[in-house]
Amino acid sequence: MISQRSRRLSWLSVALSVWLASCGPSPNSPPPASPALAGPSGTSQILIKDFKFIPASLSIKAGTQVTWVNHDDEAHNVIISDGMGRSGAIDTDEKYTFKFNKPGEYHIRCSMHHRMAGTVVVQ
Amino acid sequence: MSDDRTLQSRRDALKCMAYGAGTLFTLVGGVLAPIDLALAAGTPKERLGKPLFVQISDTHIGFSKEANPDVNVTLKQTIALVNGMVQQPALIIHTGDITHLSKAAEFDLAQQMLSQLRTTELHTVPGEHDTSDATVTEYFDRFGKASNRKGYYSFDHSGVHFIALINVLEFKPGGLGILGAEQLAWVASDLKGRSASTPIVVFAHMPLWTIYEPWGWGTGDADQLTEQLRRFGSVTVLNGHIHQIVQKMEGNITFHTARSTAYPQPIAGQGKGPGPLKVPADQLTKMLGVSSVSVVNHPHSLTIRDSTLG
Ligand SMILES: [Cu+2]
Repeated sequence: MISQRSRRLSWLSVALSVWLASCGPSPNSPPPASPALAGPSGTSQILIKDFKFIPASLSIKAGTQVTWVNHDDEAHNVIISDGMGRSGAIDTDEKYTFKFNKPGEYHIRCSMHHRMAGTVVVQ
Repeated sequence: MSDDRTLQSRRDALKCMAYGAGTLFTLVGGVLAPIDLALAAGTPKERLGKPLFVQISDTHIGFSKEANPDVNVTLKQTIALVNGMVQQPALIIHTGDITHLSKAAEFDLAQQMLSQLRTTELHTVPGEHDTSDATVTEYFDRFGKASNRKGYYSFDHSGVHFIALINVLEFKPGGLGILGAEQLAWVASDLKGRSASTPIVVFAHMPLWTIYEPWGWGTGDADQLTEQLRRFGSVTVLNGHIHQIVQKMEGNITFHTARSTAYPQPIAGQGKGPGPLKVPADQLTKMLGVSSVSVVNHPHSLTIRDSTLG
């Protein structure tokens, strides 16, 4: 019962943040990409496409598993805050998953394409 | 007249390099000159010079996508081409991206295939595809001995000084890969006291001059290397990475990037990024190849300023 209730609460917070965004001062500002991609079940996904991490910035709760999926013809890899985590090469349609247990701001990059950069904020 | 003919044949050779099967580097009067392999076959030996080395690049063993479903076949064709040279080169240089995914099996297969070359002296530098494993050890376990696992080293052959550099591990945040202060200091000590008349060959995976920064086609601190090379009379800088030939002359320094043996890449800025370029099947082998360098005897071999390609 408790878990059901907390899940309902997290849904509420997502709905609330979307509502707040829609009432923001700039009606043309882009929608908040990260909460939409953060699922309620402790998993989240980052797409690798056209040599970019999408979304470039992701906010998650501690304990969330993040999965990177490569949709490019080129291989990439994922390096998390230089030393926290490092994938092998991720070929087309392959995935890499990392669980973020500790709160903080993590820098994400690809050692093969230095312009590819992102952030994961763990609350 | 003969100068003109030399230049003309050079122009023809460079034209062949853009579309032909491979290039041979000859050392003529201490000057390294790239010559198309197909053209070299019909050129009198005394004009061709002594074949010094062949540059193979971006073999990407393990790649199997549409742009080239069988990179093993095209590497085998490359090896057959080199083995078919009447005069065998003294050594082979591989300028990186030996493998596609840094997997042990890919490195093993690549080593096995490269061992089929008649010329057995092989020198390598890693590409970013060779250092993409989680532990960054697969390349160095196999090819790290020459550099004590650092990735940079030098050696001499036929009076030419060769310098192998690594520019795929360190980087400028958000920008280009770099050589780094430690490696640049090592280059300075390696070149110290060396005669300016010594022909120098520098090779690394990523271009050592900026071809296209948004795609990482350059090296962030390469100008600090170029400064050190300026006093030498003949410098040849060889790179891979961009899977196409681009050349530049700057003083006595010739910069040259090689084709891949695996798949072509787009011209700088054409498309979303530097990924594999799909071309019609009958076009593919015309866009793959090797480069080869010999020693030639005409001072005008230096004059190739109209040679920018790509
Ligand atoms: Cu990448």
